[in-house]
Amino acid sequence: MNIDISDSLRHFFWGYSEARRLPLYRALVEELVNIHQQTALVGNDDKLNALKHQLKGICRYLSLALDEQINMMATLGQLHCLADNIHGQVAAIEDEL
Amino acid sequence: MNYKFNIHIYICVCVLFTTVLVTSFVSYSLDESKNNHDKKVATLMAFSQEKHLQHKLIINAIKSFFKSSVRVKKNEFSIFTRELLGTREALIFTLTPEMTLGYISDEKFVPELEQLKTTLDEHGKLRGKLDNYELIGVNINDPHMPYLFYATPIKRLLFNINKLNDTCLQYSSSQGYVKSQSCMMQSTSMISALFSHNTKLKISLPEYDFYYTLSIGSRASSPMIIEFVCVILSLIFICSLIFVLLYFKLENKRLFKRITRENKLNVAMVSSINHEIRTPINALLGYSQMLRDMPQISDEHSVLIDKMQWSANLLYSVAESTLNYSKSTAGALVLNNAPINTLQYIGNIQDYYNKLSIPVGKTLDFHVSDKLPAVISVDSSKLFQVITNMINNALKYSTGKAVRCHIDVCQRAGFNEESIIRGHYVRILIQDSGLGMSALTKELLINPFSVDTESKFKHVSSIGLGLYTCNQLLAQVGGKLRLHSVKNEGSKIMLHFPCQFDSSRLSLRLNPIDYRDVRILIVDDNRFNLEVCNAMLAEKQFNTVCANNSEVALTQFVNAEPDVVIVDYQLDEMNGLELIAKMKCIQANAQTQYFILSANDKNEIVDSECHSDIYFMQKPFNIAIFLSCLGRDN
Repeated sequence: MNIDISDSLRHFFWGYSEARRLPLYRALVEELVNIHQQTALVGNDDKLNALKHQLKGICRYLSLALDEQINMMATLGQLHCLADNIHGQVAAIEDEL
Repeated sequence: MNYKFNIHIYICVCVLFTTVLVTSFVSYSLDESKNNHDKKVATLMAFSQEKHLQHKLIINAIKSFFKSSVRVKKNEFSIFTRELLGTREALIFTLTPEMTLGYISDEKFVPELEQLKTTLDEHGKLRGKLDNYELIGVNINDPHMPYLFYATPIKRLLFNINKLNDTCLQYSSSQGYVKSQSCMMQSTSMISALFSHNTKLKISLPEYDFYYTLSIGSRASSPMIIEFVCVILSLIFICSLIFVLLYFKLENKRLFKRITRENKLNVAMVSSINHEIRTPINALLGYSQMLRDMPQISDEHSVLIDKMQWSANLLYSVAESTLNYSKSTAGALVLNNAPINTLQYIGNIQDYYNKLSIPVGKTLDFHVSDKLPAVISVDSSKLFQVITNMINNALKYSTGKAVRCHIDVCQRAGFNEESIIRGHYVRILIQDSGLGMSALTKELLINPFSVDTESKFKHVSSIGLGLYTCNQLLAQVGGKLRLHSVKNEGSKIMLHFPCQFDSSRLSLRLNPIDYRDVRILIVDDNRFNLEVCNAMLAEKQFNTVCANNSEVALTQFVNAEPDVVIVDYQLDEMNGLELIAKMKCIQANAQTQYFILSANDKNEIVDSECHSDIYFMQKPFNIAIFLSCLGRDN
């Protein structure tokens, strides 16, 4: 899965003043890293729904229409890949903030 | 009660019940018939005893008469017996020792006595036999006339016997046999046999050596049998009718439950589809807005983006209409009233149309009455849907240029005919100009999905649901939609939407709100969500405090004494409602306003109805909705 969300991310951050962008960015990265780590842990399958719910909440704030895709995910691995993808693209725009 | 309806068991129960009822009636009828028969037997016994007493009295009187006289003369006997018998048709006569006729109470019966046969038994007792008469013979103390007979005509006996209707009476003695007329008319049907009773009475007068048998047989008459059969048939008919009606009632109840369940499923399905549809529409709207915000967009592209946004909004409106149509047909619409800042709310609607860019050549003007209160309690999402649906229709289908929207409030009696309670309503008049609506288009109010083939807008895509849904929605929530359209003048749509407000605030006008003094506690265990929410509120100058778990939240609640608390429903340690309950226990500020932020709709949260003082908002956090709800005490 390779979704380009960089425009959505830019649109989201540019909606806030410069002073607020960085704290928001850090909070986002922190949550994504957390989800990324949780989904990497073996035996965490019972947390799948909670982690899906968490990632869905983040995506909604970022105006990413990923609800359907997240709902269809059946394994931690799939969620891990998506969180990794989003995290990668978020990290890529750090310099622009 | 949860049971599976079984028609076979039901029929068995019905048959059993009917059988018990009919059996009870038959048993009762048989008992009644037996009682009647017993009464007849008792009557007959009384009749016989009375007759015997009369016989004894008459015979004893004559005996005494003869005993007290030295020699009874013929005229004395005649006068005495005539007086003694009175109107009775009985006959008294004496016999000489040679067995010839001595005296007789009535001379005209003398020829009948020619048939008299008399005998003396071995004990010297007199016995006699005379056709058509019942004879009782006694010896008297008169040497010239030692034998006396008291004769009662059998026809008289029959006359008495026939007094008992529907009863076969048979009299038999050594002197003769008689039976009543009823014995000739006995029915031999099976039902008649059910009600037949027979009793034999053996009666004896030993002092006169006289014995006879009376048989009494009761039978049901034909009218009684017909009546009995009619009652039985009526009982069966009534029972059948009741059970058939009961069956239909149960069947109706079962069908109603099934339809209700199916309706709920339909609503759930449409709701689910609707939810899924709205997500891509939101994406479409978001991306088109991003496109629009890009600096290098030309005017030509900007027009295309406007059209794209307009279409996406229409699609969103169709999705909302579909959901509300399902809810209204299932009768599942309920109002979720919450206080809103009215002017801000109307401003949001204006912004909505400003962002959409109205179709080329059309104008939309809002006029808000001075009487509109600053804060009203209303179901803002449904009101928004109704207003925008009607305005969209006016913009889309009117042939004129201007669309006007007037908004005010009024107080009036309910629209339900039975309602006499006066209520408050938001009154919205949407007016357009142009050709007006055809009669077929007006039918959309009550008949969804109909198409006006004559309309010049027949090529414009429409499912014909919006007008009907708004009409149904308003009818179900106690409001009213009135449509008035004049050819070549345009259409007016008057909406009455129920609301609540403190009438003392009618004259209060809105002032620009300063949120700097409003302290808000935000609780969310997702740090990013917390930051976004905090950033949005901080942009509006709110004084915010954040907590990423319930423990910190409770500490902050005590320290900061917030005016508003926004809590994520899904927390790690407890849910948002439980946390709010704890906060209320240590209530530092009685005016605190609570908000729950959830990914789900309010109706999907268990027990949400029990918390009327808590505002439920769907994620993602929307500052406009939040501000519209934040008006109660600010």
